[in-house]
Amino acid sequence: MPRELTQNRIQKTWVPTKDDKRRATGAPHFANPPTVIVMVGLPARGKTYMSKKLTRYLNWIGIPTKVFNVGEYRREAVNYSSYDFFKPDNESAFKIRQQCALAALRDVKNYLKDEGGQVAVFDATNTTRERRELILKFGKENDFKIFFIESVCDDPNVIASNIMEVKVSCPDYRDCNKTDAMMDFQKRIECYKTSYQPLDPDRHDRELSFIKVIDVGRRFLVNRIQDHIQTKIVYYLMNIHVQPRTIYLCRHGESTDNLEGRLGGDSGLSLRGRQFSAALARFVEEQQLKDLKVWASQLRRCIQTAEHLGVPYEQWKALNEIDAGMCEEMTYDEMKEKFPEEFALRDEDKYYYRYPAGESYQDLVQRVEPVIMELERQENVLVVCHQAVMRCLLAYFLDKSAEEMPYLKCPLHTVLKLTPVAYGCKVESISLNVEAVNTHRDRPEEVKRGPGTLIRRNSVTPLTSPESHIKKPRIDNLEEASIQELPNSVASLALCSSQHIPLTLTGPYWLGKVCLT
Amino acid sequence: MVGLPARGKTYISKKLTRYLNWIGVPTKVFNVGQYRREAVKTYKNFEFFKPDNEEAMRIRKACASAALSDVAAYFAKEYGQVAVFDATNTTRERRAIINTFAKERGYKVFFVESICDDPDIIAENIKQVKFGSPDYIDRDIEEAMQDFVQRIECYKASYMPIDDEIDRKLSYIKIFDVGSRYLVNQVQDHIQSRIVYYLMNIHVTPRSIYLSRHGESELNLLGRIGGDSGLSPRGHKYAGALASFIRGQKIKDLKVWTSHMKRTIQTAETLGVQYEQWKALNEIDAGVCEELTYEEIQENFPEEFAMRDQDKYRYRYPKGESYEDLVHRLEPVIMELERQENVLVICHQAVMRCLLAYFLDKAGDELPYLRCPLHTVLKLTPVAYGCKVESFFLNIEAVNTHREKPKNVNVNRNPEEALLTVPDHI
Repeated sequence: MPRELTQNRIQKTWVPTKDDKRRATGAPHFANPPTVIVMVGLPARGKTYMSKKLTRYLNWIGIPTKVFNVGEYRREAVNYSSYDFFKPDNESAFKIRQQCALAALRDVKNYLKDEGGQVAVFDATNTTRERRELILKFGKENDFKIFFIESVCDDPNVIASNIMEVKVSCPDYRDCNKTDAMMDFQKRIECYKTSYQPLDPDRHDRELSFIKVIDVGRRFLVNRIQDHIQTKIVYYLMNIHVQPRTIYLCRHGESTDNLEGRLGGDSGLSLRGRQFSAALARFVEEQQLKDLKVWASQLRRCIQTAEHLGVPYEQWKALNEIDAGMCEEMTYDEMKEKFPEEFALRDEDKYYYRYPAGESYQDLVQRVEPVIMELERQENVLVVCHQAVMRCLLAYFLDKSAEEMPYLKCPLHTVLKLTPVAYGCKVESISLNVEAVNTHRDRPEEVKRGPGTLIRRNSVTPLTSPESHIKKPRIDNLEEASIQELPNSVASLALCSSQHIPLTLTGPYWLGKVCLT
Repeated sequence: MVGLPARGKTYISKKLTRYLNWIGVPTKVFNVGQYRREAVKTYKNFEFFKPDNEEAMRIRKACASAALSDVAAYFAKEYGQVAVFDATNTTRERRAIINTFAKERGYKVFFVESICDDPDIIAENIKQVKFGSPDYIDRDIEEAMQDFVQRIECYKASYMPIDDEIDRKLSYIKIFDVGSRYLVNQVQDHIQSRIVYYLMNIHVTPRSIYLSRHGESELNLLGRIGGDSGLSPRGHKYAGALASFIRGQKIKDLKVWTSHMKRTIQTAETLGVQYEQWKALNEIDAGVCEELTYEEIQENFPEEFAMRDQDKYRYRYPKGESYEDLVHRLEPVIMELERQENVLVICHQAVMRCLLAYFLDKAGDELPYLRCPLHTVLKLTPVAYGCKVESFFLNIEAVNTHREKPKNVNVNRNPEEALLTVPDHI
């Protein structure tokens, strides 16, 4: 007898009645055994950059991922004095470093076995065969898949630039001036060079699964990809680049539906919307960008906005606003009246909630993923889209969780300028000074927040990459270091609001402090 | 393409071309071997390929040139976007000619080199595709194998693989041992990135893909399109028959995929095995026409109905989707199907047409009219350069949901003309 099916009230997915509580996914997640991604490479080769970026991407597409940076464990254990710590003959330092790696591996094990993690990124140099053997053994004992990402680069300019970008300002060099820091770091790199054994695809490491990233992505060597997640990782790494560039996100100009407070639909711009489009054209010109690509959705209000720019633009159906299904073109009041239960359910769980015969934010993330991939390939891009879509894109760039995503502030007539910097993304919010209605609905206070949204494994639930804030590992006795997780919102705010941008624009713009939640 | 004979170049060329065309990038293969067969009517033996055979060399060079001319014509006059130049291209000299040709015309060049030294794989390739080639059509198998091996030897002496140092400025992917390793260099743009991703996901392990629609649904019985209804009694029967059929096939490690719609899930439930739900497999969204009969569509939206008949592939329902949108939506499904081995996909009529068109290389004008009746399983098995299809009707009656293109597609046609090809329903 086939099982009875019920339709989950929030996600509108059909599940066997007994399994009603299970959170469904938008697409299968090919339950894989947990994977440990192991970074390999000399210092200043971009390992931490790739670790963090990859982790942000995997979390956004719903794969719980976390970085374990051994350098951070080391900083907890000792105060850094100079590169002497890394000299190959410094025995006591060597012991400490070993203990740190082991402590990190213990935390990896906890994360993957007990905390619902699916991918752990083990971010350290891992330059010797001996160290990698240790990790392979660890993986085998615990049934984890191991995938190596090696970054190989000998271009002195790239290395110097990396050091300037992220090393001289790191906690190790807190009390040094830049030149001293640079010199010390170069010597640190030398310490690793003598014992560096790169991955050898022809003989020693031919059975391992790995990707060698050579010269910042000019060339890749990919060996023995085992599964779906490794393919996605390889594809992602092959599409990202480090060229300086800027991404502009904005919504279409105010539409006539916006004026009436209606959701969705395909209406045209209001008068103020047209004014915004003209202002946007002026703004774009003033930015004096090289080769700006402009993308719009296929809905009229976006296209009208893009048209005003007077430059070629590409239409993406994937950028269309979230489909409100049976609630299309209703006002929130009408929705409350006609579908009171739906209205309440949406407030209860706005990320997972799927409009009847429509979409959810979870569906949106999946729909918008190719856009993100192409954004990674591109350089300067202006994306003219919609409120929900913009929230999805922003959550990716700013590492916001599923909890936060549907409540990010993306007001009309405001451009968000995103610039990659160091390990994250600088955000500038630029209001073009054309009045518009406010379409933002805050998380209602009276909604009972349940015992935390249970993030299940294998669900398309963007998680903020957890800050690997750890307590001191007890290196004298082999006690587990417990990882204190900061609440997501605090961790990610730190990432974006710490940048205070000098006012670079003159004229009619109001450069606001970014306050997105 | 670059590589010794029997390294899978033509296999990759054809498969890649099929994929690119399906996602909407006009692509065509130019196989120099075919040009050679045109020029030299009968193939005698491997001596033709000996490096010192001057006359043959001249012919082969001419064939390559002819093929390149055709590539230029394809781009300039036929709106082609990608041309796959399928030949051994094993010497640096030949590759330099191609680079010059491209540079002069502003074309980008991307090399795909296949390297393989496993004698078992090579022997298998020769068996799969060479014995059936026009060159060996009247030969005895042993003789053909001997000759082909000698043919490969002719190329080996002058083979210069793409060199990581000398060729560092070229854009290429090297595929080692049928995908166990890849070397990717200087990917220039989006399409090259997609090509690399595709090549890294395909495999040659034997397997079968089963495509089926959900069992007959309540709305099917009423002749209504779309919606999210449950199975009819006959639909339930089909689900049971499908379960028996699948068991009878004795498939190793079968993965089962459904859409998010009730009717496919109900069908899968009867199988009693784990299945995965993909929203991407949902039926085409008919927008304002959801849950209407064709008669009602004709009555309420006669113009739309006619325009759909004019260009069924590109036509988008108001507030809905087109087949073209569907293909785009299904691309991740196809990519994952390529990665997987044995899979049963339980989906819907329009979706199944799109998937089938990918496997059987059907273009946009045929795709929306492919026959995908209810209660019929299509078993696809890759073989040689293509795909074998077996159709299994599981003997449970169902309504017909296939609507042929009517003769008159003009917006001013009579309702009768529009409704001529509508299948029967309650």
